[in-house]
Amino acid sequence: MDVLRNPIGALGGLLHGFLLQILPTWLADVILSLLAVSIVVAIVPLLVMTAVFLERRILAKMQDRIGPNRVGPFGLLQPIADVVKLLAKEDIIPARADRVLFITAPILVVGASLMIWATIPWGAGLAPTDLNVGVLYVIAMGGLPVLGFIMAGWGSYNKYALLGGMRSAAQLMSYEIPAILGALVPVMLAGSMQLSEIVLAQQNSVWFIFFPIIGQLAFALFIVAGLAESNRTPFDLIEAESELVAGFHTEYSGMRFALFFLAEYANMFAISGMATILFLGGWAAPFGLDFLTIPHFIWFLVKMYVMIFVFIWIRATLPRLRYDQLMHFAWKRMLPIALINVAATGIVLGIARGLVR
Amino acid sequence: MFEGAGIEIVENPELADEMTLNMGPQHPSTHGVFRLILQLEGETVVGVRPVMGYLHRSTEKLGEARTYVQAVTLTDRMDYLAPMTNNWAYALAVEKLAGLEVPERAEYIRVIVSELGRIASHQVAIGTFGADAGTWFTPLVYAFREREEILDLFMLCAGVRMNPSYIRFGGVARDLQPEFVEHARRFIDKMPRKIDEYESLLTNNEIFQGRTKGIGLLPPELAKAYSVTGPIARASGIPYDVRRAEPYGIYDRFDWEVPVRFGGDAYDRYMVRIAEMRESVEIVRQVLADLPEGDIRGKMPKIVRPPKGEAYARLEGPKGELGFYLISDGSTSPYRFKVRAPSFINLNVLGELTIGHKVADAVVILGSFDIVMGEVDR
Amino acid sequence: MFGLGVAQGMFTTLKHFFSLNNVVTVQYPEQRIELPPWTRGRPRLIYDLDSGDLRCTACGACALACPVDVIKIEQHPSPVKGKVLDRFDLDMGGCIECALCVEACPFRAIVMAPDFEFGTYDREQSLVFNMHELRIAGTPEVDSAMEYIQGVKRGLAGQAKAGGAAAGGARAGAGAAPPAAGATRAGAAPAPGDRQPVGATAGDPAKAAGAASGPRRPGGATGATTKAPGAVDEVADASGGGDGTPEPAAARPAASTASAAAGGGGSGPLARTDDMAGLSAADRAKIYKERAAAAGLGKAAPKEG
Repeated sequence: MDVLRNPIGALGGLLHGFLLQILPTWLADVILSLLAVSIVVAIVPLLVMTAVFLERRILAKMQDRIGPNRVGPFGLLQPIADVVKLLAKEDIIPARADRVLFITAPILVVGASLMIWATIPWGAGLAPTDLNVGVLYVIAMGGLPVLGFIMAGWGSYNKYALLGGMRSAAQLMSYEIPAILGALVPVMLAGSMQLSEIVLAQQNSVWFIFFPIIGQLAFALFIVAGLAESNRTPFDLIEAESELVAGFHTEYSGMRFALFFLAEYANMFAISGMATILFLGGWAAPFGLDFLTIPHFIWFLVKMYVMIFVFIWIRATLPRLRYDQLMHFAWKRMLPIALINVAATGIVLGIARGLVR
Repeated sequence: MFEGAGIEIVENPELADEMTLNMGPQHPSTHGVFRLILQLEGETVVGVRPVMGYLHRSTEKLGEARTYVQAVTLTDRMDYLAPMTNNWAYALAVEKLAGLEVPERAEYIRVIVSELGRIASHQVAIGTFGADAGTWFTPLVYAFREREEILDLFMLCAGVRMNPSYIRFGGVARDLQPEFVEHARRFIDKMPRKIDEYESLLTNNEIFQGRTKGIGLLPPELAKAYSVTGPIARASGIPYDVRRAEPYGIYDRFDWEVPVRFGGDAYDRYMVRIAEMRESVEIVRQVLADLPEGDIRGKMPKIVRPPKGEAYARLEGPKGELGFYLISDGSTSPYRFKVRAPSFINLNVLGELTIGHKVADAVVILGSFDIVMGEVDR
Repeated sequence: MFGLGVAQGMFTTLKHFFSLNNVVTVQYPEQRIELPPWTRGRPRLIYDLDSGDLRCTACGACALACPVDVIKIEQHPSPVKGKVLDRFDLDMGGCIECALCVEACPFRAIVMAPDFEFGTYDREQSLVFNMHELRIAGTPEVDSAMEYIQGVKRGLAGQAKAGGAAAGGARAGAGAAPPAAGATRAGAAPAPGDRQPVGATAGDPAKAAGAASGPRRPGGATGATTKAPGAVDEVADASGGGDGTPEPAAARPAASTASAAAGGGGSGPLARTDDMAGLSAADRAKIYKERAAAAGLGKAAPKEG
């Protein structure tokens, strides 16, 4: 039964046992970690492709259109065609651009957004490295891309890109704080920063989103801040096409643009994954459906795609905030609510412990 | 950097913190080839210079080299989103000049097609305004969905969707097909629900309100000083509508209201357009109800050769007061062909409104003006 | 935080996501919207079905009317009468499809056909069409489309006068009537045997068929075959009324459109049948001609007097 629920984990265990017999322990661990990393690095772009396809089709349906349906059955191969197109395009570097910054920026951004995935567990024991400070690590990595955005904005020698870069600095920094405070609630409730521990804590009690008021508020804060962190509507000021043409990646084309694109969607998946883990019970089967022998990572994917759908749905509906409204919203609305929420969580926990004692 | 536009930017060391941003002529939200030179301090606009003329096609000069009939095709291409009112304004001017009569049925048809055209134009205005405010094209697509049906109706009556040349002096070019009336009735019946749908996406949306309320405040005095007309003036509390102020055609026979709002901001301009769409629907409903039989074209000479003289005719286009000024020297083509293009005149106040706002607001204000560059530059 | 307004919008988009059949776009190369025959596309030169000659008399009215000067006409005086058309070139690269040429033509010789796909690799050569490429058969549907585009004209020159009825009458009968008034206009319509085509080939075929056949039927005289001088022989058209009422040729294009939409049923020799769908206008014209001959029809289309 457990093998069926966690086939990849079982496979990994078998492989680990086999490697241990022929290799020293440290080498076996290194090989297994490398394997895990390469799987993640391969899977995340695949996820991104599905998200791009889903986004285009779902947006189209919401707008009474059909969306891409020419390449392959139902247009399923459209993302591949997109990638091929981007790869085949000319790679342009503006004449007066700062070449070093211009070239390293997309690499940095993509690197940061892929590194988040190092610690996200897809099932029991199914994380490349299950860090005991997982939440902290994810938040730290989530803060890195801003560096890349500013580098891209400055290095492009373009005023729109510069404005986009400046906006990104302000926006990502500001929304980091509500995101952290939102994520702090599950951490307090679970009593651990390890992501797998948080999931296990939810399996033992209830999903943290079902904690009355505290849980929902924290979830909402985390999602809104997550939208802002991944530059999604209504917080897509960094690349606001009606104002800044394309923001920090105005001057990017071809593969370098594709890297930014990949990073944006990988970030979106990371936010969805984190929301799933922190609030939606991670890989646990929902609504007592545990009797079904469905692998854990499938549940995890399903929840993640539900979150992606919500992101796309929001994109289909809402207009964009203005720069000052955005800052106002972060610092004057979300931050106080988040602080109060954290305090309330502490009080509730204290009372609960007192009662237990 | 600015040669060609006749603009000199003087380097001022005190303004070292300022940045000059060229918005346009190629920019996603300048609605064509319009250029705004923005002086920015951070993201705040401290100076604006609108530059027009990138789409200049010398329509007015071409009109002087065409016969009166041929010049109709030029009017289509000015405000290409509402060609019917352009045709009509020109036709009014020629009728005044040559003293032509318009039969009853033609007057009714004119009102139908130009009110439909007004709805179509406002749909584009609202849709692109939503896109300027940052919605991911959903209001735009919804608006274009119904605009398609209006264009299909134009297809039925004029044989073409975009440049109909349908309203001619002395009447209209072709009679309505019976199914035009039917389709138009069906369209009019469902249109109010569709307007509700556009509104559900924008009107009450807190983000949209935050983006548009209090943005680009145009006081009535300023509006009058710049002779701003159309929905923009009516959003500033000036109840001026040529259809009411100086009724042309048969507008005085129908029961409708001039929507006026008093905020003078981008949100009110949007709301006035929404209200005008509803009023236009009502007008078309009334016109369709008592569409008379009869001729569609009055008595006309084979070749139109108006007597010497001049004429100015105006009407309420979707963008504002649209006027044609023609001078005839007695020949077959106008001696002078001048257009009072509402988009162009409304656009002149843009600079005053934008200063002090953010870059993002500049886009919203421009979007709320609903300009068509084909008309601005002509 | 967010209030009702946002929720309202979210609900609208979600409703669209879950609604069935909300897609309004057309998958263009495969699906095509059926354009009405009077769609203003490329100007075409009409030739008579029986003789195969262009109706154009090289008078140059269209070239004069053209606001963009894309029509080039060369002619020489004919030894017999009038002029002979040597060259008629149309540059679609500059044509604005305004239909002023159609309105100007006094000989009903030019029409705008719903052709709109002119993608080519060069602008100078491929978009200039000569008089042979512009030929289109003067079938009743083309004629009625041309009548409709010319709509403004009251009295028509040439064969329209010879036909005995003003085109204005046909126009009034076809176009002016709102649906309810269609039947009442029978009295105003020209004589039953009049061969004047009607401008009522309609996008809504059933209605058009009703409107066109209703007023045209000789008042209550079912079964009567009427002949006017120079008119087309009447044949029973099953779809016209189901009672075997002879119908003038004018009603046929409308009826045939109806039959095409209704999945067959139109049986007149000049009805447009389903097997013609993929054919070019010239090929269709041949078929029309053969069928007209087989059905024993004399002159299938109006001819220049």
